[in-house]
Amino acid sequence: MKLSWPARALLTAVVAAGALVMVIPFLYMVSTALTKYAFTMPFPPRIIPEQPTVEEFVRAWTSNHFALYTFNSLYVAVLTVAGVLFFSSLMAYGFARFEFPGKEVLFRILLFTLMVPDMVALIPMFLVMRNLHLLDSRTGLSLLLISNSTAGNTFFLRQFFQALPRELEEAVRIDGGGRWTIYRHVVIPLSQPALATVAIMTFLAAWDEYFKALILIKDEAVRTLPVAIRLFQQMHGTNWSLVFAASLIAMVPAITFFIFGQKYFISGLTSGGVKG
Amino acid sequence: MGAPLRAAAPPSTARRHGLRAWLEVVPFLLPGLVLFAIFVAWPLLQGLRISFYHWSIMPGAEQEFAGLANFKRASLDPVVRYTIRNTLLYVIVTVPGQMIFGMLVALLLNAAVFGKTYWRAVYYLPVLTSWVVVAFVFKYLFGGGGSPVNYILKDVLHLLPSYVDWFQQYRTAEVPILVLGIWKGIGWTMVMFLAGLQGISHDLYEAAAIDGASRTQSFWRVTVPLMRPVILFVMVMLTIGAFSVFISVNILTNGAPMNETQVVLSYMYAQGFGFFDFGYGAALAALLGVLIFTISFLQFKFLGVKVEQ
Amino acid sequence: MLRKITVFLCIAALLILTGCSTKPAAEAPKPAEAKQPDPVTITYWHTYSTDSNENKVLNETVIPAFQKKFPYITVKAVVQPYDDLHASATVAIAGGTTPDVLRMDIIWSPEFAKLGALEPLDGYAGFSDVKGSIAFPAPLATNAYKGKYYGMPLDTNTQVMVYNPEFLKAAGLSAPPKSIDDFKKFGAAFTGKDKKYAIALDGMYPWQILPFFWSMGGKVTNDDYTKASGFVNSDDSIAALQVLFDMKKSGALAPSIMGDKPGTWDGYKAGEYGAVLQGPWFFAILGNDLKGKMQGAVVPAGKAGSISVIGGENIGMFKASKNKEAAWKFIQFMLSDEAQVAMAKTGQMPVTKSASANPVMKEAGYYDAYIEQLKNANPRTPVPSWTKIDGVMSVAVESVFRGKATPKAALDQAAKEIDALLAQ
Repeated sequence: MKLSWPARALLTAVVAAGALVMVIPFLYMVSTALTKYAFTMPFPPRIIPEQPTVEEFVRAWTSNHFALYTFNSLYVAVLTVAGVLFFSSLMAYGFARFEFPGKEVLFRILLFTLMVPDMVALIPMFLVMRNLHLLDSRTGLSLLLISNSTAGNTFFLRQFFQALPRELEEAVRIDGGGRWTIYRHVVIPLSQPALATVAIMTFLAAWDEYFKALILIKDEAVRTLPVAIRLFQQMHGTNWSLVFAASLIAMVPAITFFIFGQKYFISGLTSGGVKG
Repeated sequence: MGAPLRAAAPPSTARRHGLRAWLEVVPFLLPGLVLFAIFVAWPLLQGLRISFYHWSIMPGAEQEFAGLANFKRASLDPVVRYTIRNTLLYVIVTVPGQMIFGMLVALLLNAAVFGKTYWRAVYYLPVLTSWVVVAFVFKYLFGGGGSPVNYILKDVLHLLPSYVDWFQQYRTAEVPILVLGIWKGIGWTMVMFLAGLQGISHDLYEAAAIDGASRTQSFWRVTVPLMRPVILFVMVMLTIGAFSVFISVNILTNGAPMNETQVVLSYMYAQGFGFFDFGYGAALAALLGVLIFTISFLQFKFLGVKVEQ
Repeated sequence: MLRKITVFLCIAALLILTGCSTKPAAEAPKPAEAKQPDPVTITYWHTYSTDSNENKVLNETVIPAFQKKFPYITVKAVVQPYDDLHASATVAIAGGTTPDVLRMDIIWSPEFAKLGALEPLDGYAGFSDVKGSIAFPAPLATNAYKGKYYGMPLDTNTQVMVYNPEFLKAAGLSAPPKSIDDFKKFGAAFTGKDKKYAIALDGMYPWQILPFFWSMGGKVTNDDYTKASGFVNSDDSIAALQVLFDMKKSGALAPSIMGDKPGTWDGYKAGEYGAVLQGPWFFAILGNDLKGKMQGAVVPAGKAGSISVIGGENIGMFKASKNKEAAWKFIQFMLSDEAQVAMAKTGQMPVTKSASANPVMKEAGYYDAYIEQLKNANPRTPVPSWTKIDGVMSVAVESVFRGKATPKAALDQAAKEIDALLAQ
């Protein structure tokens, strides 16, 4: 689709206008974070604080092991991404390209579990984690998050795998390659955009996981970031500058991962192509 | 979603065939299924079982069987009616809302817009923030007489005759909840649609153009059919996500006015973790599960997509 | 075929689960009379924000002092987000992974006790001394359930009226209003003109409503906490709610009570609100910003006198604790002068007689009104179903404020619901 320069400029203006609406709440957050010690929110809200200072950012970062919590969160998120990519892609391939009795029922069971809110399973899940000695463990939390997102991501990847052209698989078969060869050398390389999408979503969900992290992890040494940020909130009166500053800091790795990931899935699309 | 009919084969052959098929697929399925069984399916079954008990959280306590008492109570509870109404409203408004805006942005970004990477990141920012934090921000954006939203709508755009006390009435209190739901999800939908759009070969559009199709026609004839799996996936996932709306309601209105904005999960959380009444909470979850299942079923049916290809 | 596979999967899952859960959960308790006690670690859950002064003093002063006294006990303090402590504790109770000691909101003690999760403390050595050292009967009473004590008060607080002196002056008053009638006059002076309101409350829930309700003679239940009908909907109760509603209608009570912005803190700071009902933390946190603009005074007296509501926390021990003796020693220590005075310096009001009399209470400068008010302050109905009653009361008040029901109709309905909850 080739567009003239003025048409592109016009579309860009539309996108920019929409983007402005999207960022208004962030401007408010940034401005509050740049205000020193705001136990009350500025009202009426201001976009530019009266006396901007980065003090609260410094305070958030230097207070009780913020760097350690960031590392823990990264550890959990990266492990979860790796696990989800591995388990879901295998399962999705199984469901996309194999015929076996009970396939449909099994798949529907997977889908059904997505539909019942997992809050109801929280206590039994906690008991399972306890019995397997997975409390107070980053790996344990990660294992749980992997399991929780298996069904959804299998569903997503299966859709993608089914749409892949079958010709390449036939070619591999004619050359004597088995299912594993197809999975590793055809399906995975061709699915980079979908896998990158899964990776980004999984990373963000794991990065932001609060409630499960809260109930599973009590040990300060393995505490993750969302819990640490919540612990800045006080019973009577919260220093919002500090909470917002900490939240903004916590967004940096997520944004980085997103920007890195989106580049990766675009290149995957253009170079991977039909060549395999 | 009827089970597909298979060609009748002698039972023994079919069984042998089935076994072989299973042996072939097992290495692919087993690792994921084991995790799924231990950490998802088993706890979920246990959780749902609780809905038939007056369940005590004390370990080792004798659990009193309740039969359908919890479900009966739910059917008589007036707040449950509010929660179902509000949850459905949230689904009906935010799912199409996110999809339409997400698709628009994806199409715009996929067209030759300047600074594409940059805009994509901007639209994705809301997805990257925590629900708790943005819910607090929204509460301030909407709350009170001279709030920024009121200021923009009345004094700048002149869309309102007077300031609105958003959180004081049921109808207006739903607005910030719904707007937040759409605002937070546009970025995710956009990314999914972009991934789908970029998977469509330019050759197809060129071929359509040669055949004399307009841009609108090629959107409906080329883009939509090829994007169907992505659209379906996004729709089902958004629907499921919308049914679990919880944190934003909790912070924005906490049910006010008078429980009228309560949603199923916020009520369930209060019953279980607030009042230790997990039996009742589980019954609510089971009802919600049935509701989600019915709606997803209709979505599959409506879109004519079989689970099995 | 499929059924077989499903069954197989279920069995496999079952085997894995039960196989792991058969491990012994607890070792047999050891006799405690050894000369050199074995080292033990106890876990203590609290909700002092990680950024707070309280957290610092607890970890750097109080716990080290305790460990110096009892070198064989290590205290592991774990901070929990306040909003989710109830949920967190619920999961831990179900999983048998509770901490040894918990600092909890005073309204939770009865429900945790009813559940059977807490250890009664009556039989522990030195219990009566500890109990005797508590200065205020109301917080102590929140720990009692069916004749036993399931915890001890750890810190206390109440709410008093905080006035902006400029508003008092403008209303022609030389001192804060002492009676409800004076209070109404103060209210009439600022009714929303130029964004100035006489009084601002945080919301329509009991914590903010009860002090006025009680002072004007309103009641939630009878004195035994067994019956609400005839009390919550008595003539005095109805009249009290009517007075508040009238103040809302006239504009004396700011829209903040309906959940609108600015909230009480923001509006008070901005000079829009003449008075708020707040605890000592209001002074501790905003005192520097608002020097000379805060004047504490007891709640205006009505028919029943000046009565406020008790807040604060209890300290209790979970039944599942494996180190009960050590846990009890820690509870005792937390009620010693050493710990109480150290925490008082951070803005947490002590509960013991001797610590309340400590000069440190004078130094802060703002405790006077609170100590005065504590002599006349009630706990919120200390029954296991309070959390639910709280909801019922909130809805009743809200329906009046939103014009959906008359005070009589709303409170009649509440009486019925609360009676049912008390009967459970």
